[in-house]
This record gives sequence, structure tokens and C-alpha cells, in this order.
Amino acid sequence: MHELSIAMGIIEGVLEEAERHGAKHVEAVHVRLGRLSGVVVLCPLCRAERPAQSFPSLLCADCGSPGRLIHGQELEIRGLEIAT
Amino acid sequence: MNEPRLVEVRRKILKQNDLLARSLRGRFRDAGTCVISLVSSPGAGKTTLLEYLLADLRRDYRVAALVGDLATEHDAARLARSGAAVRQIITGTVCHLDASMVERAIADWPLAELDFLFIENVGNLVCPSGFDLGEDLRLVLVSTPEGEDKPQKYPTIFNTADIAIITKLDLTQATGIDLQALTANIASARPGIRILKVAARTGEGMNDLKQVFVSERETQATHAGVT
Repeated sequence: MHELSIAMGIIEGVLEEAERHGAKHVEAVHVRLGRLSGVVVLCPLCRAERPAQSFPSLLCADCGSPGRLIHGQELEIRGLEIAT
Repeated sequence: MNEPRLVEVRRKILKQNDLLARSLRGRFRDAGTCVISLVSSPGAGKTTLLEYLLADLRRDYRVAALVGDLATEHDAARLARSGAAVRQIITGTVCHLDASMVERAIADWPLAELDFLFIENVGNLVCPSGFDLGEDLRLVLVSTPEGEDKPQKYPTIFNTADIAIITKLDLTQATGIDLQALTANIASARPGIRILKVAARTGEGMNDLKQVFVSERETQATHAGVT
């Protein structure tokens, strides 16, 4: 039922943003779900953002040292297709 | 009416929860309450760990606990035996706690009279990960009977935790678990995370865990004093 909270979060966000943009109708909602896919870590040794080793590891793909998660767990509303 | 147009939003789906959790965190800080949440799969030993900690910390500190389950007040009844203030959050069909549930549960509690507040989440290694509760420390528990690869199967929850605790250490031999492999897997999912090993039944490692909380609280108090 974690899905329910996500769905409610999307509805809340869409209603607020639609009103802010003066929308009469919302035709489509674009969402971005990272869920730890395409993970990017900040590698202290390389001093740069690097892809992580194969999922679910957060070790730097280049040098193997432990990284800090930068991208990969996004859960966001990216955009709305609206009619005004 | 015009043709539909695309507007960029870039807004977190759980924004409301994030905002509420931030405000809770501020309230806890102002009150000087150190808040620690526990997540794990069902049966990993969250309640047993808390039973021990509440009884132990109560000798020197003012402690309270919230405990989440889909149904029953069993865990609240167990924890209340320690003498600490305990409140059950019954989530119904919801598989995790969120900030609004915590806010409602503590509404009439005088936070300034609490040194530690523990929040035991619903037993679940998936759903609680995305919901900030305003806690200072999030503990993820994994018990020896669960095997070595839980951190690889459920990396997200380990990645949002501040401390990992291997529980039921007294069953190491019976379960045949490879503790070194489990430790390595936790470190891979959450590089640099502090890992403690405990057995709440025998008390092994429990004093070290307690000291982690005590020093976290002292660190906060120092910061609060400076600012």
C-alpha cells in the first residue's frame, strides 16, 4: 500500500502545480522514478561523479572505492501537459 | 481552449512528507529530543531490541516510543512493561509510517520532557525507505537468520539508514550465517555505514549501541548550545 501514498503524492502535486500554471485540464503527467537504477555516486578518490558498479553496489565503477549516492532514487513529477 | 502544452515541474512526489518531516525535526531539535527510528523486516528483533533499550536508558534518561503495525497493540503492550511512555500507531492497510502519523501520535506529548524518542516502523524492508519521519538516526536491523544477502536484495532501505545493526548474534552458530559476507554486503549497499552486532537476549553489544545514542544526543546538545 506504499503505492497509495505515492499516488496521493502525485495527485496533491499535480493539483497544486496545475493551479499554479492556470490549467483548465491536465492531459498527462510525466513522472520520473529512479528506484536505484542508473545510479551515480560521488567518488571521493576520483573526486567526481561516477557511475556505480553493477546494481545494487554503490562502489565507484572506475576505482572501486565507496561512493555517496547522488542520482538514482528520484521520485518526482517532471512535468504536466496542460490546457489553459 | 488552446492545444495542450508541456510545463516543466520537477517536484518531489513525497514533497508534503518531506516538508512535514523537516518541521518535525525542527520541533525535536528545539525540545532537545533525540529521535531514533528502527526499520527492518518483520521478526528481525526491533521490539526485543527496544524492550532492552527502553529499560536500560530509562535509568538515566526520559524515554518514550512509538510503534507502528498494521494491526494490534501487542508491541506497545510489550514495550510499555519497561515503564516508558509508549504509543501504538495502527496503520490499517498502510505498510509504512509517514511524518503525519508521527505528528498525530506525539500531538499531546510534551517533547521538552523527553530525552529520547524511539520510532519503531512497520516491519518492512521496502516501503519505509522513502518516508522521512524527522528522525536524527535511522537504524536498519538485519537478523542472523535472514541470511547474508538482504542488503543486496533491499539496497534502498540500507541506503537511507545511518546505522546498521546485525541482531540475534546469539544465533550465529545455529543459522550458519557468514557474518563477514553480511558485513561486506551492508557496506556495499551503504558505503561507510557504521555496523554494530548485538544480541538483545544476552545483552551482547547492547552497551555499545546505547553509547551511540548517548553520544548522538550529546553532539546535538553541544550544537544547540553553540547556535
